[in-house]
Amino acid sequence: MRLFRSEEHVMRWSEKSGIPVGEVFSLDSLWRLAQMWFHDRLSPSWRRPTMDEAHAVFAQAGLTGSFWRLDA
Amino acid sequence: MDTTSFDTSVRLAIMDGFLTGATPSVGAVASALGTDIGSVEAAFDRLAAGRAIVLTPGTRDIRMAAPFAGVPTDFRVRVGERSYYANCIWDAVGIPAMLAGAAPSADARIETECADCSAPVGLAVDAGRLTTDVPGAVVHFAVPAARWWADIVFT
Repeated sequence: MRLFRSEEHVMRWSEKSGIPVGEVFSLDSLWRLAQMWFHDRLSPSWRRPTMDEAHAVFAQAGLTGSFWRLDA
Repeated sequence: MDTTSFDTSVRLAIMDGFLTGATPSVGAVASALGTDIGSVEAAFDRLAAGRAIVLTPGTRDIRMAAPFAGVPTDFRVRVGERSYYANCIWDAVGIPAMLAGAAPSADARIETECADCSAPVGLAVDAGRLTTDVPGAVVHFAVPAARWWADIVFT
């Protein structure tokens, strides 16, 4: 889960490393994801989200498709 | 105190340890909670089994307590006078996201680098807004969600 200067850098890294490109998305999506995922981490009532809850968070951040399925 | 409540206390003591600037050891958590080492060791094992923390194999050293990293990484997050390491870019922005509402200010500076060319990339969170000094920067997740925990350190 890394940051790249641009999508071209992702492609170049993939060619060099031999690791296929997974999902490329914006910092806006990442920020939405992080806010929903971590907002309650310091709460005594925090627990790991269920699979359905996790899928809902991904979807609300605009991250959909089989890549984001925990049961794929 | 039942096991679940005790594990919550241990988890929160771990997070508090990270927030005050150090990767917490079993001994430090036991001391903070005024309890014995063995009870905290067992709680660490249960929290690791439940994926609330990740331990370095063969030890009870905390490798990850998301969003915090227990070892230096390429993702450094500065909040006020404090500096933390995160496990990945998701966790790096997760630190100010977590602190929002729990700290006087969750404004943060995140220092990382392009995973391709190693050029520095800076991010900032100010008043709940994330910005970057590299406007074209993008996030890349290589591993599909279903396989994240097959090798969580690589993920």
